[in-house]
Amino acid sequence: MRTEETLRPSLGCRLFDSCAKYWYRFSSNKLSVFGVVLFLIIILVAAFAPLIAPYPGHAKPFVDFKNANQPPTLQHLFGTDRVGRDIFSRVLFGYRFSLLMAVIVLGISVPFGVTIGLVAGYYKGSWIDTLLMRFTDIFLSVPPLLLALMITAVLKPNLINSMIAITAMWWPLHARLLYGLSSSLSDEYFVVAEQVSGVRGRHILFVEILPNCIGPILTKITLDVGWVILMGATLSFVGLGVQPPKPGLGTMVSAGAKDLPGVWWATVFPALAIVLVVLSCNLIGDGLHDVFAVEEV
Amino acid sequence: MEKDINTLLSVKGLRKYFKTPQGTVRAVDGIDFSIARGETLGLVGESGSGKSTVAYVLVGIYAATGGEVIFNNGQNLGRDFRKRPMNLKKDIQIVFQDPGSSLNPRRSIKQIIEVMLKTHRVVPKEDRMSKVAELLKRVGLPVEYMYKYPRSIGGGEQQIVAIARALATDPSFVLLDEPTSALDVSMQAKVINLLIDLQKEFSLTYLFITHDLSLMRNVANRIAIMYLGKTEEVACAADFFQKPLHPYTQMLISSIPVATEEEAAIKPKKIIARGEIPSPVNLPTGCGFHPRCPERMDICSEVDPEMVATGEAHFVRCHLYLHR
Amino acid sequence: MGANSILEVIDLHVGYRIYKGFLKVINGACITVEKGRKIGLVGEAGCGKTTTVKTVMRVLPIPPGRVSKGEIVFKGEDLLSVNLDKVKGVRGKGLSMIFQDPMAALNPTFTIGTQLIDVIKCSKRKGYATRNASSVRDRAIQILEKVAMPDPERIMKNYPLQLSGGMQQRVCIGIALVNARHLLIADEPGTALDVTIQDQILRLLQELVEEKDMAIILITHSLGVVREMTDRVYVMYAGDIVETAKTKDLFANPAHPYAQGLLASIPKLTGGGVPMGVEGRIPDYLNPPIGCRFYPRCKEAMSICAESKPPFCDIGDGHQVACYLFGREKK
Repeated sequence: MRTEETLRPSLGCRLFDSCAKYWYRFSSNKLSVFGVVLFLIIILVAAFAPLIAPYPGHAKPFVDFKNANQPPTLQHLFGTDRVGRDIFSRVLFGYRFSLLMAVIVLGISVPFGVTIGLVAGYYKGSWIDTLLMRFTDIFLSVPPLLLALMITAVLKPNLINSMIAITAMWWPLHARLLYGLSSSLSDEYFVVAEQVSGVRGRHILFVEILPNCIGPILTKITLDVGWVILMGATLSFVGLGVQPPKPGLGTMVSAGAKDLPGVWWATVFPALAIVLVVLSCNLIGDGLHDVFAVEEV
Repeated sequence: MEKDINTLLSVKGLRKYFKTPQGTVRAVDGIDFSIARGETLGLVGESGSGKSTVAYVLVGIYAATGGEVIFNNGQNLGRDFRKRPMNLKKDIQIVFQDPGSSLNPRRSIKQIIEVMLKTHRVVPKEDRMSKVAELLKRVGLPVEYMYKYPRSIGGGEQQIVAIARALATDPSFVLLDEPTSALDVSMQAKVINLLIDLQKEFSLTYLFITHDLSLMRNVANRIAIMYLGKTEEVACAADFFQKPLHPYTQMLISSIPVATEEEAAIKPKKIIARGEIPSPVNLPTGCGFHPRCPERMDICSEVDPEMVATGEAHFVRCHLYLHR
Repeated sequence: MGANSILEVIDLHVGYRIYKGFLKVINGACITVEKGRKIGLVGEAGCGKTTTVKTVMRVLPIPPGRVSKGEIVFKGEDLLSVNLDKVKGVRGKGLSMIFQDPMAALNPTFTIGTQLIDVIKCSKRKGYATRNASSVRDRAIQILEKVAMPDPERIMKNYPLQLSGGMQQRVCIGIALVNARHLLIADEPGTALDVTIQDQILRLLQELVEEKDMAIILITHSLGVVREMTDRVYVMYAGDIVETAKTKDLFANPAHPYAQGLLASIPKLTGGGVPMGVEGRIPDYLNPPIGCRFYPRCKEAMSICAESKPPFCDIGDGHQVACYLFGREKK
């Protein structure tokens, strides 16, 4: 191995150094650390739901009318719903749907939106920009909920189709974000220096410009997780997302709303579960924003 | 037009206009100069004079609006980088003023230099790393810097990396747009001496832009001074400072703060700098400098003077010398 | 403390906390500014000049910055021991600052008039903060005239972006002048400007300072400016003041090896090429050298230089240098 190669600090070393630096900045914000802890707990309970939930079978089709509408007790921490299912177990399984939705929706909309915005911003002013951004504008000009309703009305209402609907309304937001970032970064001298030296556009876009956008993208993704989950719950609430008897959080809120205010636990606990996950994402997003906004000393 | 084997760059009547909502900005409005191989031509002027625009046209960031720019006896530099052949892009390089923004903070120094080697296939793939190491050694940086990121090194060293990057493609012509303006005095000395050494070693030709006249005195062979898009005076370095003819040149030289008595002695008599450079959209009639000129005559506000030769390779554009 | 001193910085130690540790930047700086004097503070980028003056003005962001030791005495009061509210009063009454980039120092969304009037209304000077809107406005126009702005009435209505760099900097000087009576700190006021405009700005500063008998600390890395504008110079290196002298003495006989190197490395109008600068780089503030911070780069280094920080020695007529080459018997 040549001498130059031996000088390269190991990958582990570099990762550790970056993580230490980012954690130092992040951890100065106590609320954000709390957000991370909370979110990690939620992920863990969702992952191990079959093991943690006291009544895992209640997440599947199950009825027990004798135990219906029980208030919260030690056997049923969150009480039971109108057909006798344990709400606590269903909430834990409900988190699975929510997180799955976030992962899939963002996993598709973010790469798609980022690519469109990135390319359009770099070629700002040309026909490529016009084509891509007007296409984006079409999606942005329809009110999001209306768009989601339209799509699920055309297709069957279920979890997968609601994910398609939310993806369709989500990617333009990332496209817009990247458009702004990409067009301003394209004026930076390090991009111009490579352009005049004949470096190919594809390289400049994905290797030079994109890494500089990671900060805002990551911050937006963490906030998005909360919003996508909320949007999924909203769609389920109006009957277009997770269909009963599956334990979607929004579906449970909707089902329980009919029995308010008497049987309050059937609505309040699933709603609180939504609030917790959205809150934790927002707190993380706040902290991340500070991490990337700090200037080097 | 006879081809002079010694002239690397020949510029005639170069114009670059920008259309803005306020009107047409004539950033460069008809300039002529030529640069010989191995020479350093200095371009001096205040902000708004158009000197950076000249460099940007030459390197291909902008396309020229008019005029003729011939490089290396045949190639036309009028078009921007989108339409230039690869060999031109290899042969002409630029070093920008702000090293912090001319290096991508997310890429290591090795990656920054390597992309140039890769684009122009300077060396085969296996040899790229050694070539990067060799370039770093040549500019006086430790080889360990290959894996560092720009933010972790100082401004002067960042600029040296930018120079190494420019050298990676083995160019013949390098444009230096205020390369040391953002650096302090000790780093400036280091960078300038490096540039001079490299010029000798690799037979480079430089177009050196700066507003620091003391620096220019020691770097350039010939100097051209620009005002509002036109060249006002062109002369060799010694004549430019010892016998400045144009009132603007005299005003500029007399405003330089100097640190020694001997320098203070050779400065022209203090001309109190008056007024500011006018807006480029609303140019004065006649000679662009007349509103600020202490030697203004009636004809100056009506007719724009032509460039004339007043001696051994000394050109000036001023009515004071036009009617002798 | 001299009866004539407006400002005394005594043994100041300032640092920054970062994730890797603590950057010990300022290492015991001592500066004395007398009434009506023009002081120059020079040093290379990163040596701590801006940190020092920001600490004096108490605008240093406190985490991550931290003052670990030292006193800053302005007109008899220690600025570091008073709390921040009282400091605002001090700032309003006699101490003011102008910054390097005038575009960044002015708010782009307000007109010049609004910004000037705001400062006047908040001023603690006698007769300034009145409720009478027209007298405040008149005062603002007076200030613009003082800084030689053409057509002050029109400028009042303009936004900062409509003005050139030189005019913006003049507005900043005007704003600083509302309150500056005893001391004005100018952090590289001409660096972002063209040389003819810089010349005008510096001459304006000189006139105003002489007229009001105001002291000024001028930070710059241009030695030519220092020679033409100041009475006394402090040379700073890596957070230490290494030499101070009357300006003409420093240029005639620089004592500290760093000051000598600095003076030798400026390109001259008389030609002669660009001399080699001082070799090496400023030290890592995370682990600075224990003794003299210039030791690693010094050609005249001795073993004692690495062990302890050299104290200030007087070499005559107000010329002081912190170097073991002086004030010790040569071995």
